[in-house]
Amino acid sequence: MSCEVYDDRLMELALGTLAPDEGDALRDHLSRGCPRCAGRLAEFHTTLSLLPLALPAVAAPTGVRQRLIARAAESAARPDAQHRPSPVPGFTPPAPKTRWWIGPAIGGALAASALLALGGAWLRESQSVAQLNNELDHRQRQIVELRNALASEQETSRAIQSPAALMVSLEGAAAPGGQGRIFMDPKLGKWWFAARGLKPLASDKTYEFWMIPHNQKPIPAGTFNVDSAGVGYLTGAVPPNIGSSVLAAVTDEPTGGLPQPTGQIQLKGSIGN
Amino acid sequence: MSRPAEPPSTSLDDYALMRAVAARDETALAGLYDRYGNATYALCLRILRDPLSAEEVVFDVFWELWERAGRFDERRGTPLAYLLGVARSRATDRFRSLRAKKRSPDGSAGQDGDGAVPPAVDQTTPVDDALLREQRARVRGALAQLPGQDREALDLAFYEALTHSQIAERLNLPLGTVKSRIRQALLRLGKLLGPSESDSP
Repeated sequence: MSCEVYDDRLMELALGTLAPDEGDALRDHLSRGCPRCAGRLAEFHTTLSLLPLALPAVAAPTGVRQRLIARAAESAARPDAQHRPSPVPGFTPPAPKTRWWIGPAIGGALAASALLALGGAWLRESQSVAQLNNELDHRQRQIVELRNALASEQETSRAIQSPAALMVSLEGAAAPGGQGRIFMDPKLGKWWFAARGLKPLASDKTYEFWMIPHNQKPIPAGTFNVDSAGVGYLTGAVPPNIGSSVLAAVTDEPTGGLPQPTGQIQLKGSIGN
Repeated sequence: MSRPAEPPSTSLDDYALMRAVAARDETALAGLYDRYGNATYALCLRILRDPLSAEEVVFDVFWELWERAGRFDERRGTPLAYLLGVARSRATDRFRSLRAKKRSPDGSAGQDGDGAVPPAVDQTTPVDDALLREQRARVRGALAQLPGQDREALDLAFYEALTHSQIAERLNLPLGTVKSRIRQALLRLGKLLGPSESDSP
């Protein structure tokens, strides 16, 4: 039987409108691992998932974010069962036997119990303190990272909103579907680059970004890799004296980058005249 | 000599943010919310037409993300698709439940909250925002190329979760016509939005 008979059902399944009793044959078919129908379903899901982006932009109430993050922070700070410090092994007294030394032994055992209990409490306390110290370190690192991120973001925001800012598009050359955007602020002397639609490279390769002033050699401007979605970012300082007519390009190069391009041009675009 | 530049932490990609959320990093949850909170809210509001219900569902959706990010399978789609898929499902469930509760003899539906919706406030980073705006424009452009009747059928199926039969009844059309319109709409959109939007890992 041709898979095409399932197409309408696949659509309904992706739309979530397939009645439970209507989809048995399709679900059975999918569970057998039909690549054509699984791919078709994934395509429908992907297409449908983009539809909400066409809706008019509205702001989510700010209270949601506050409540959400507060609750998540509280939840993250609360250690779950598997992260809790393992309990200190307890003291198991020996089975009582009537012997002449029973009296002193009971006293000794009680003293040992007390010592072990104290030791256990001390160990638990030490573990809690160590855990809190680790948590404190983690939070302090987060604060530093967030401060840096905020400063970087404020700078980016200022630059992009600046009347002097340039925005340049790079289109795929060897990378069909690849795109890039450069935001450049000549006054601030900085640029920001975002790429998408590029293929993730093997571990011995990297993408390298170039600025090529008119009639000059390419200037290496940094290397970057893209994530599994083909997205990568880079930022840097505008090279001195590059002039007003510059070609920007991305090539693939060996890891670490090279002083001059050797790989294929994946993206390119012109900055300025 | 080339000098690799460290991307700022705000430029983490969606997949990295999902992994950080799975590792219980609430700042990553905040990052995803800042990127997609408005889009999620817009979707929930479109389905529920009630700001308060939409707000509750958005909270539930992101809380579910926090609790279950570890189950997200990168091979099966993008974080955005996952997030909006969960949002649509939860909002549709809530809509059906509210509709069942509110169904009254005069057939009145839920309140229309259009007038109470605040304008969008940009909380994404400038670069993220530029990319998202471009993506929005691309989707709007693709939808604008669909025949109105195909788009209407797709909207009813997607936002109101009506079955093909219910749409046929609503539009007074043969079932086959409805199926054909939705199929054409989906296939055309798939072609127009192309592989770069699929962002498959």
